[in-house]
Amino acid sequence: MHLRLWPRALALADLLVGGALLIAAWALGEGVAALLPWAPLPGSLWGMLLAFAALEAGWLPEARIRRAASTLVRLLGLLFVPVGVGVVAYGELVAQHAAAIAVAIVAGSIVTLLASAAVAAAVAAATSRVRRGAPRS
Amino acid sequence: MSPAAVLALVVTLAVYALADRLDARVRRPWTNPVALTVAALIVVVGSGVIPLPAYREGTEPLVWALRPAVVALGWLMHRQRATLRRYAWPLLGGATFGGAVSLIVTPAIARALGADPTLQAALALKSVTSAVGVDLAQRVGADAALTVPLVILTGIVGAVIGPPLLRALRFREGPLGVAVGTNSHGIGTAALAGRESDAATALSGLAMATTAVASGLLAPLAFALLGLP
Repeated sequence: MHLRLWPRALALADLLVGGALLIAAWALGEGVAALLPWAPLPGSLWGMLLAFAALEAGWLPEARIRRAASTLVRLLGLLFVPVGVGVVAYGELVAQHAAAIAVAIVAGSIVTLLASAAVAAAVAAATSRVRRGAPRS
Repeated sequence: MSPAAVLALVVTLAVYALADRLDARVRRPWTNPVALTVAALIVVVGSGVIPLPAYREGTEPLVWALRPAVVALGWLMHRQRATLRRYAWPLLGGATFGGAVSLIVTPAIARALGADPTLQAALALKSVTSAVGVDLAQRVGADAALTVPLVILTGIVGAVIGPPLLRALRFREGPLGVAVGTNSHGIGTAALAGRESDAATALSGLAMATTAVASGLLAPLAFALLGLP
């Protein structure tokens, strides 16, 4: 019995240590956000960039947070559900302008998606041409 | 925790598990588990079966865990660093341009439909991830309370229509990830996690951050241009 329990306990410890490190990065991110009130990013996004930088610099060993981070990324969708349901609180406000909101958001999203995908694809094509050293056609 | 709050958490987890199972089996744009679960729970909470305060209380742990999960996207970026390095300029270009287009085109559409300036101003911020959106709304004189639901709806709409629309137009991986993150921030990124490649998901997370920064810089210009609010 204890032979089976032991790896599970290790996996749980791994998850908890990784989770604690991610929470620490979040806390640091909140600190940065508080120090730079004019910078338009919330603490969690600063934490994301700090975690990325720490991993790239080798200050944070990737294996230490792998289990926790991969679990959280897999659950990201679930974690956004309560935020989405929060729309209910604004039901009346949204219902008042339902048609304009629906059209503007759907059409605006289509235009935004296409504009950003087209520019990303065009820049990617241009940079790969430069990298290959081929003359511009 | 009140019984209704516990029920809220259990129902959220159960509906998500079911939606995820359905998505794994049929894999259609409309089976996006985030969108399906949100739609089902809007009905449950909107009809008062579970009151909103109880729903908020019960799902508090999920909202709390969202922040370390966003930090975990930094880990995904590290794992996908080869893609990010190759894609740095397309990402910067796509997210900045897409963000600028959203700031101008969305309120212009609303204006053409006869929406008042308050609504136009809030719609302009539709693609700015909500924490930044609220802050930005206050700085540029838009209504923060009106901005939040519009940001969330944009997240859901883009998560559902984005991938099939882009795929139909032959945009894949890189441009797809950049575009979904640019338009639909965290909700779009969450919808890509597990459904699209890790590279697309990591790019979407970075596009969300880039769009937030670009919008923070460009919103005052766009508002001046449109004469808002």
